[in-house]
This record gives sequence, C-alpha cells and structure tokens, in this order.
Amino acid sequence: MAERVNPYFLKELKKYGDVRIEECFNCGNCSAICPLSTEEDNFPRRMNRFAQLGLRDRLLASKELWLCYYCGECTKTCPRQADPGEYMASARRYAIASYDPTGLAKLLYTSPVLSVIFLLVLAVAIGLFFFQASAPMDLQTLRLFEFIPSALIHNAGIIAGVVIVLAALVGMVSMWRRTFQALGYPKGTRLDWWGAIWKAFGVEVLGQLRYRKDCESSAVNKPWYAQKWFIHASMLWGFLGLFVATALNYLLELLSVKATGTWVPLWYPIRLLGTVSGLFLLYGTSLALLRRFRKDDTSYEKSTFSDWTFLALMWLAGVTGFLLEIAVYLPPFAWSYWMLLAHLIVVGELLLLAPFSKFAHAVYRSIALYLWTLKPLPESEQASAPAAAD
Amino acid sequence: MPEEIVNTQAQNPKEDEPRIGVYVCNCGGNIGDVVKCEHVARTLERLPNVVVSRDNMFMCSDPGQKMIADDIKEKGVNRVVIGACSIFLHEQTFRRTLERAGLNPYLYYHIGLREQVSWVHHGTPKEATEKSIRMMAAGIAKARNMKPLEPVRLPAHRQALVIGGGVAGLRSALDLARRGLKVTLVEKSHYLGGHMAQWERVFPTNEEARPLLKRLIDQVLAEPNITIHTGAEVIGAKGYVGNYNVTIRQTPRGVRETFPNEQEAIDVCPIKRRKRFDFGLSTSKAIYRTYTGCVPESLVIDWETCTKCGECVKVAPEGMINLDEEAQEFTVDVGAVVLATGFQPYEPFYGEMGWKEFPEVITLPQLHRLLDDEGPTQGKFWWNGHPVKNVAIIHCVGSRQVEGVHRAQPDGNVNNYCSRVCCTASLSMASLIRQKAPDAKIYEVFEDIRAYGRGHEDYYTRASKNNVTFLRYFAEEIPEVRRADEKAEHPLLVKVRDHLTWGEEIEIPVDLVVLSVGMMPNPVQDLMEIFKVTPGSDRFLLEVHPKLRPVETAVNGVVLAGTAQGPMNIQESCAAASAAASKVSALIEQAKVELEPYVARVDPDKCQGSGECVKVCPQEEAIELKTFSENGNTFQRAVVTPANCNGCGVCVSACPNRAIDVQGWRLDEYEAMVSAIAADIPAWEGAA
Repeated sequence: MAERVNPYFLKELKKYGDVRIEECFNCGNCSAICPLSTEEDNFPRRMNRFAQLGLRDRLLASKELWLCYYCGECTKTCPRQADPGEYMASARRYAIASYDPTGLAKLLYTSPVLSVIFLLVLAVAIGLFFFQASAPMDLQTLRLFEFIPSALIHNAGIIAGVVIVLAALVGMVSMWRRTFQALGYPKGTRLDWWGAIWKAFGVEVLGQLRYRKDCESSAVNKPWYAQKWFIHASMLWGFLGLFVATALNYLLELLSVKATGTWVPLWYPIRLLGTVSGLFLLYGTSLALLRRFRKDDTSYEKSTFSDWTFLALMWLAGVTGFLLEIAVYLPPFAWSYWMLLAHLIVVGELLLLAPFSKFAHAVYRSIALYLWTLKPLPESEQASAPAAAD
Repeated sequence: MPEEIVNTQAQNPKEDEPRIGVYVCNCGGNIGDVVKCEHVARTLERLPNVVVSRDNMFMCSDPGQKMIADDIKEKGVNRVVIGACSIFLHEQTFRRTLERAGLNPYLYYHIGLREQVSWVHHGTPKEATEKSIRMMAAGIAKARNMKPLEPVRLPAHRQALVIGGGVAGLRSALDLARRGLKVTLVEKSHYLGGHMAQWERVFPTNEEARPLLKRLIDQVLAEPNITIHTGAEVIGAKGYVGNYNVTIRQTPRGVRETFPNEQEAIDVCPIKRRKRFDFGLSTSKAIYRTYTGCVPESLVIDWETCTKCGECVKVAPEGMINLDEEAQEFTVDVGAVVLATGFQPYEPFYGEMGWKEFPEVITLPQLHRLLDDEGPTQGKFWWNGHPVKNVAIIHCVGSRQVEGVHRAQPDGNVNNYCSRVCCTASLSMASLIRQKAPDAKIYEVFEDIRAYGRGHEDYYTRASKNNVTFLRYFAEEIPEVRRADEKAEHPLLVKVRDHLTWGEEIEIPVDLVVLSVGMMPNPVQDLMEIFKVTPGSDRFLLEVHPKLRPVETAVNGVVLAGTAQGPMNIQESCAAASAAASKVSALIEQAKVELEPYVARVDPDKCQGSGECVKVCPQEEAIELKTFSENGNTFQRAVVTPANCNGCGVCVSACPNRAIDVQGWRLDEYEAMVSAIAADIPAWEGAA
C-alpha cells in the first residue's frame, strides 16, 4: 500500500515546537552520530523523512520517536541546521496529542494562553472541591486530615486515578496498536513477552542504562550528579518513591495498622522513603529548571511552555510536600493547613493532566522500550508454532 | 591542382649513410620499473649503424631533448629511434626536437614501450625487456631505410563555414571572425539564438537568457567578417580540408523587413498553428515572430501552414510581403567547417509518465516557456486556468535509460547517457517556481543529483532550503504518473519507490508534473553523409579522442561545437565553440594546411595503369587513372590526390606491380622490421 504524501502535515507539526526539518537534505549525519540509532531502528533520519513527506501514520507508528533521549548530538552535527533533536521532541509532543482522543493534549501543547487559563481554572476547581468539605483549622493541635478529611482525599484520589488510568489506557492502546503493527512480525511469531519485561522496565526505565551510558557524550565535563540522566533519574525515582510511599501509607490505613495523619518520627520507614524520594524529586526538578533556564545543553535551548509547566508542577509538588512535612514537626500554624490545600491542588493538577501533558512520555516511552526489547523467541521454540510458516 | 604539391624527396645533406641514435626512456618508473632500460640501450648499441644508444629518466624533459639534439649536431646522428610513451603524447615533441637540431622531423621512429610493454607486462620484467629490445631493433631496421619526408601542403580558403546559429555557432563564428577569418554562418530556422532564446533564466548566473544572448548576437552582427544566412541549409559539399565547396539552400523569409502595422497583418491571417517556440504550449499565426527582440527582427511566414491566401499581403505595405518567393541555392568556398547543429529535447512516448495521456504533464523546456514573462501565461505559474499548488519534477526522463527497463527509441537504442544539464536546470527552475509561487509545494523526483559545475551545487542547496522535497528513485523502477480520484484536490498522483525513505512506495498528489527531459542530437543524417562524419553510439557526433582531441572529428577540417557532440550546458557549449574556432583558425589561418605525409605514392615507372588501386580505394577522389602522352604514346597512370588519401594502404596490396607504397610506411621498411624482430640479438653481457 503506497503512502500518500501530505504537504500540509509539516505545518501542523510546526505548532508543536521549532520544527525546521524541511531543511534536512537526508545526509544521515544525525543517525550516524546518534549513539542509539541502529540500522533497524533508524532515527532521526528516517523520522525526518516521515515529516518531510507528511507520512503521519508512519510517524505515529514509530517507536523510534521514544527511543531518543535528546542528547542533542544530531542537532550539533546537522550541516543544515535542521535541528533534528528538536524535531524529534516536537514529534513526541505531536504523538502524545495524537494518541489522546480528547484534544486536551493538543490544546495544552499548542496554546500557552489557553493552557494557563485551563491550569488556573483546574486549580480553582480542585481547591474549591476540597475547601467546601473542610473543617475549621485547629490551631492547638495540627489535625491536617480533619481540616480536609483523609477519606475524601483518598476517595477523590482513587476516582481520579481510575479516570487517569482509563484516559491513559486509550492513548496507550492507540500507540500500542500502531507501533506493534509496525514491528512487522509475521502473524503467529512467538515473542519473548516475559523476557522483555526486565530489560525494558528494569534495566532501561528504572536503570536508565542507555540514557546513562550512551547519551552523555556531550556532558563529560559535568560530574555525574549534574548530568542529564541523573537529573532525569532523580525525578523518576523521586516520583516513584513518593508514589510507593503514599500507596503504602494508604495500605497501612486499610490494614488498620496506622491511620493517615498519625504522627510518626522522621525515621519511620515510610516517612523516610517519602522524605528521601522527595529530596530526589526536588533535586531533580530544581536542577532541570535551572539548566533549562540557563540553556546549558542543546536540548535545553528551546524549552516549550509544556516543558516549563510540567517541571514547575513537579517542583511545586515537591516544595509543598516538604513544607507540609516540616509543618508536621512544628507547632500548628494557619499556613500549615493552606499548604495542604496547595499540595493537593498541585498534585491533583499533575496527576489529572498526566495523560495529556509531558507526563505522558512516561508511559509511551515505556511501551516503546518494551517493544524495542521485545524479540522473537529463538528458532527452536518458533518451530512449534504452527502459524509461523505464514 | 593537387599533384603539383605532392612532396618530392627532400635532399638531406647527411643522407648518405644512416647514423642512428637510439634513446630508451624510463618514463620515471613507468617503463624503467619493468623494463631494464639500460640493458636495452647497451644491447642495441652494437647493432649496425647505431652511433649512440642511451637511456634516460625522462627523454621528453629539456635535458633529454637537448641530449638528442646534441647527438644530432655533434655525433652526426641522422636517424632517431625513441622508445618511450605513446606517440599520441610526445611524437610532436620529438619531431620538433629534430627540427630544431636541423634534421628532417620524419627521420624519427617512435616505439610505445610504456603502453605496449611495461604497462601490459609488469609481471614479467625479463620478457618485457626482451620484447623491448626486439621492438626497438625493428625500429632501428626501419630507421636504416627511412627517407626524409615533407608534410603535404595544400592551399586553403581563409574562410570557415559555421553550421548552426545557436549559442555555440554564434560563439564560434565570433571567435573566428575576430581572428580575421571570413565566416559564413548558416542557420536552418529563420531566427538566431537556437534553444537558448527559449529559456527564461540560465544557470549558473541566473541571468535572463535572452538579454544575454542578445549581447552575443549584437557582437556577431557588428562583425563585418561574418555573413549570416537564416532559413538556410547545407545540401551538399565537395572537396577536402582547406578546399570545400559547399552548396547552401535558403528558403525565403516571405517578409522583407519590419513594418509599422505588423499586428494588422498578423490579425488578418486565418491560420492558427502550434507555436514551436513555446513547445506547443501556445498558438501563433502562419505569419509570426518568435519573441520580441528576436534577430532578425522581421516577421516570417511559416510555409508549412501558410495557404498563401494573401490576406497579409493586402494589409502590409506594398512589396513588403512576397508569398511567391522561391528557395535559392548558392555555393561558398570554405577551408573548414564547424558543426554546431545542436540538440533537441527528448520527446517522451505517449504515456511515458503520463506524457500526452494527461494534459497536466509537461516537459522542462515547456516549464521554461510557462514561467517566461512572454510565455503562454505571461510568466504566471498557472496551468489549465488555475494556480499550480503542487508540482513534481521528475528527473532523468530520456536520460540514463536502462536496456530492458526503458522502452527503446524508434531506432532501437536507449539513451544510456546522462544529459548533464537537466539536474541543475530543474533545480534552478524550482527556485524560480518558489519566487513566482511562494506557497507551492515542489517535489523533485530524482535518481542522482548531478550538480557538477561551478555554482551548480548552490542551486541544490537553495532548492532544499526553499523547502523543495526530494524523493529518490532507482532506474529499475521508474516513477508512475496516474489520474487521481475525480474528487481529489490534485488531479494527478506520482507514485515513486523512494529510496530516501527506505524504499517505501510514496504517492504524491500534484497539479502539474514536469518531465525533466534529456538531450537528443538534432537529426543531421544529411550533414553526416555530406561531411563523412560519424556519430557515437549515443548518436551525437563523434570526436577523434574524448580527451586529447575533443572537438575535432575524424575528418580533417570538420570540427564540432556545442551540443551536436553531446549534452552540454551553455558554458560548456561556448567553451567547445571557442575550442573549435581555435582549431579551425590554427588549421587555415595561414591560407594553407599541412597534412601528415603518410599517403600513397605511385612509382610512375612501375605503374602499368591496371586501375586495381582505383577499384579498391575506399576514399573518394584519392586515387585515379590519368592519361599521359609521351613521345606520341598515350598511356594511363595512377595519380594520388594526397589531400584525400588517408594512407590506409589498400591500394598497396592491390597493385599487381608493387608500384604503390605509403610514404613513411614503405614495404621495404616493413620487411626490414619483420626481419629484425625475428633476428637473434646478442644480449649485453653487462646484464646482471
């Protein structure tokens, strides 16, 4: 089936970032310099072609978009200043917007003005939702979860979680269907579904192996703790740690071991996990914001509004969380209660927008990495599969 | 006339006894690395008549030449045998050396030790050395029998004929005239300028073609040495280099000069014809002019379509238009001929990438006309009454064709050559389209981009900076053009297997397809027959040697200029034209031509007038029987016209009386050489 050229596609893509890939003359320097690109998974060059010719479906079916960590080597090497690195980032934004059927992601990516309005309205809505259920502030003893009942937070969180997961699932299925089909395995090929899990999620997602090992060539002059992969890993680990801490905390409440809001010392394991994770998150987001502000890396030169809001929300979630933790060990003040509300608003925005914002890269990149590691089983095990012959 | 100047054996003061100088050149290491040159020289030293035998690193160098000259002067050497590179490289060099030293330049024999020995036998040095010795011994044997020769000298007309009034012909004519030669310029059409006048802008300067051409034409017109005949064709020629008598046939123009109410005369003409100047994109009347400012400026009648109804005659001033004029024939005497007969754009066959099948498919020359301010759309990038939004330019149509993939031409050939001009021309047109239609999408569908000349690459850079999208096909699977669905926004689809996208099949929706057609030679079969020049396998006229003699044909006195010889751009055409002019002026400027003396010579004492030689001679008017009377006896003898003889020697073998020999290659010389090759030569004992 021939692919139809769409000359108007680039115009659409340009809304998602500083795309100038039409300047590319297909020399292939970008793919040659790329530490991750291979003969099989060729990017950026092959992706460039999809944009130049307007092959939207091929682009959206490319897991290669998500195999790139934007080290910026391609952009530095490009003889045409076609900025393939920024194009890849923009294409990922376009992909997030395209996998999302609601159109919200597109709005958040393409219109900073509407984004601001939307974020503010959502903040007010979340704030009002919790505030209308609040009890008077007790300034004798700090009773945060009487001010806003923990049950409400938990239930709202669970309902929001379900909505978020459903919304994310739609996008994930959309991406999975396109990208899996593009792998082109003949029907009946037996794949190593289990084997790919550890390599994709353990080694690559949690371990950040290729990001750490291959994509820091440009940052050799930076200490490990200031390198991009570590900044990224700090945020990832911090966020996951906090998520786990919160979940465990709720679990203990369900098991009636400890009610939410019970005072615990700083060394209490869950509190300790939360604190350390929070530090990671705050460290990562602060440094990311600073480096983006300073534009001290090729990939930081063209930050979009969506980059800033995502980092800012993560950073605010960390800051409000820590202030809340400090408040727990201090005598009660009115701001302690307000901080809880602020924290709920920020975290609420962050989570509710996850499928529609830069946050969504977490799932799409994971899927891409899984498909990248997913390989057919060895020949000996293929032979037993009856349909493999076709 | 010619027999008076048959050379007679010049008297050489040192002729009495052969004193042979033998010189073996190492050619750096080209020869010396394989052949033991010193061994060769020492071995040959002892052969009879050899006075000196030397080897040298570079015999062609100044010291090497001086050594030979000194031997001639001081040691009385009067025959020179040199073993070195090919005669094509240095025969002339050494002839001049001999001449400077006062020796007849033809008392010299050259053996190609490099091409015939060291390069082909580099694995077997011993045998190579042995072969060198034998070959040079044969040369020495020939040298013993050599006699001084004089070149054949013929008087020549100091006048040249340039056939073709395109840019190459104009350039050639101007160069020749400025050297003081008379030039007759013959142009088949009624206007000067050829294809160049049809182009909008020309690379690499992006200048407008017609003002540029006008500059050249004005210079030609201002040159009193040039006589121009438009509407004229060469229909016959007699003679040989220096002495051609050419017959020209000129069709009348029908219109004497420009006149005020020309438009009226055009308006009353009832005939509409496709305008060839616009490659059929527009129509004109049977009385027309190609473009404003064309030369000659006056209108012309198209005799093919004119019905001679006389309407134009009625409105034009008295005697201005004459529809009853007859074609005229006249002759000119010229010394040399420049063939600047040009090219024609390749004409695709019906259905080739949609050609003629869909009206939205045009050729690159047509695109030039379309974008021309004087063209059918006054330069707007419109087609069928709509602005063109998407356009695909397909490269290599009619060029680089592959046998078995592309349909052959009517003559059975495929154009496997690259037309060279079309890549940069297409890229420059893409830039022009971008200027005229900033929002148009332009696709260049190419095999390879060959932007080879100075400044050409800039067009490629500019095109891709101008958002031209490139798709690359391979010749094995040529692009397909087909009709899109009726409701589609763009009427055509171009299907390409794009090797820049990993061989994916891509369809491009477009409003217009431009076929970047290659160059074909103009059909000049008649001229080839008249001047006995031959085409190459690509059907363009063939030069003697592509590198060493690039503008001369195998026929002395007939040279090539411009695209008659192969695809060239304007710059290359002008360079070739100037080279052709130099060759012609070097040939006939002195009002005489010198030819190699290697022609047949009849010994009148032995000739019995059998006429066998005349029967077998493949050349025209090279040898004939003439009747002589002596003491009341009338008899016939063969007589050679040296100018027409190419020294092939067929007559020598046919003569029953051995009365004919080719000068410089006589039978006794051959016999001596054969004996010497077979003879044993005692090797030099000094050999390691």
